[in-house]
Amino acid sequence: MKTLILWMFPCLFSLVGSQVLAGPRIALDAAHGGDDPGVKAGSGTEKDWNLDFAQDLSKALDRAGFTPLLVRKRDETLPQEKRDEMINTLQPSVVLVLHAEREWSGTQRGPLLVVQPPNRPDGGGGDVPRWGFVSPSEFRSSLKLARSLAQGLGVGPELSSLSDSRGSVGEKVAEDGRILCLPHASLRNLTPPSVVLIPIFLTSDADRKALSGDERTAFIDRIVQGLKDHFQMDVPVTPTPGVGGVDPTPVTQGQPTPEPTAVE
Amino acid sequence: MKDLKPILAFLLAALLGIGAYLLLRGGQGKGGELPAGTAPVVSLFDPKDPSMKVLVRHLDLKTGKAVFVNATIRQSKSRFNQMKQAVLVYLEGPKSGDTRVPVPAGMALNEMYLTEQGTVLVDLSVAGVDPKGFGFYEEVLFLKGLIEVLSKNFFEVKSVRVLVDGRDAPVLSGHYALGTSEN
Repeated sequence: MKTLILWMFPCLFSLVGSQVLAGPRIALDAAHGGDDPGVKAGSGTEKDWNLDFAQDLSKALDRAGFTPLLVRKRDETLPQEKRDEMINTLQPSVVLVLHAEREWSGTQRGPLLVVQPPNRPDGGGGDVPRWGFVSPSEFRSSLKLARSLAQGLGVGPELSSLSDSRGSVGEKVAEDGRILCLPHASLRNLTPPSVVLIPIFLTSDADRKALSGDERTAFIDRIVQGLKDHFQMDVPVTPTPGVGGVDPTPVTQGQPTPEPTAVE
Repeated sequence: MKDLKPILAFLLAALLGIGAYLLLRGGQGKGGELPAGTAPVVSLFDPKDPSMKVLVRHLDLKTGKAVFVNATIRQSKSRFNQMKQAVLVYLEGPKSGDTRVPVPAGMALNEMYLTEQGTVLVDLSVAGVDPKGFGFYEEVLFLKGLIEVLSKNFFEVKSVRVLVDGRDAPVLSGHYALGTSEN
């Protein structure tokens, strides 16, 4: 009997432990698809670009110890209501909705991040029944996520001057701010902290060049780093002075422990 | 001859009646109804009205920055008609050259309304807009320009609300969630 319990214990531990140690769940929604191609510029179609990028980002997140959840895995038509239902049911830690954009002058570049502004406290103008309810705390959570991603991507944390005043009150606003606080159809019914990530403007030659090959991989790595910062993963541990030999290595969820390095 | 007088009087009265009916009916179509798409055109200004300048947001196609350009409208006696002229100047502004209005081809104005609280309801038609050529960022620039052409030029405008074909649509053209009265 004791032998049986001893054998069962590791099995139970691995079952429970795998859930405990699983990385944060990141829902990736490649916008548009199927009958809805999204925007088009030159030979590029938004739906194809979104899916391709989502798949690459998903692999990078998986390698980094996250649990990526792809909402759309192939070229298929998914109505917004169904996407919202799928995402809310999955209960991810955060949601990234991927969109590619276009713009008339061809000079506007990504990345841009979009967060849903909060409703007016008094619900004035009948916004709540039309939009759903976005509380100030939900807004703050999404804004925190956007700022972590902005930091990872190397852009400033300021809101764009195009932002809705409901979210920009008390916030630093800049004309070239990369975070837009505006109502987006992809975000209005999502409950977890959610951000629309616009990595590329298909009308920008510079963007198309910057998001190809090795530079695309580096860009994706920066998004992953932003998420790590958001979840405070890979927090560096300061080595205790006077202790020689092995550098204490941070233990991160889902990642193998790296090789020990000597203290300088 | 005396026997013909009543008949002639009746015929004369009938002719006068038919003539009056035709005169009052004017250019109307069958059944006295207006043909579709031919609402009576009410002029927004009198040719004698002096001109006035309004600021309209343009997009500099070389830099991608917003620039404000003066456009001319007529200072009609009705303030609302001035607002409508300003919106039409924005929607029908240049779409090529050094600068352009951030308005997609095919966007049209159905009607406008002004409430006592200072909310302007702008009813737009997006039927002619190609959604593949009008993304979220462009929707943002368009709405910003629309709000500014009213709020920057007319102090009585407190907020702007956008309708699509007379309805409170959930989105403008696929991305921007409407239902806002943002100014």
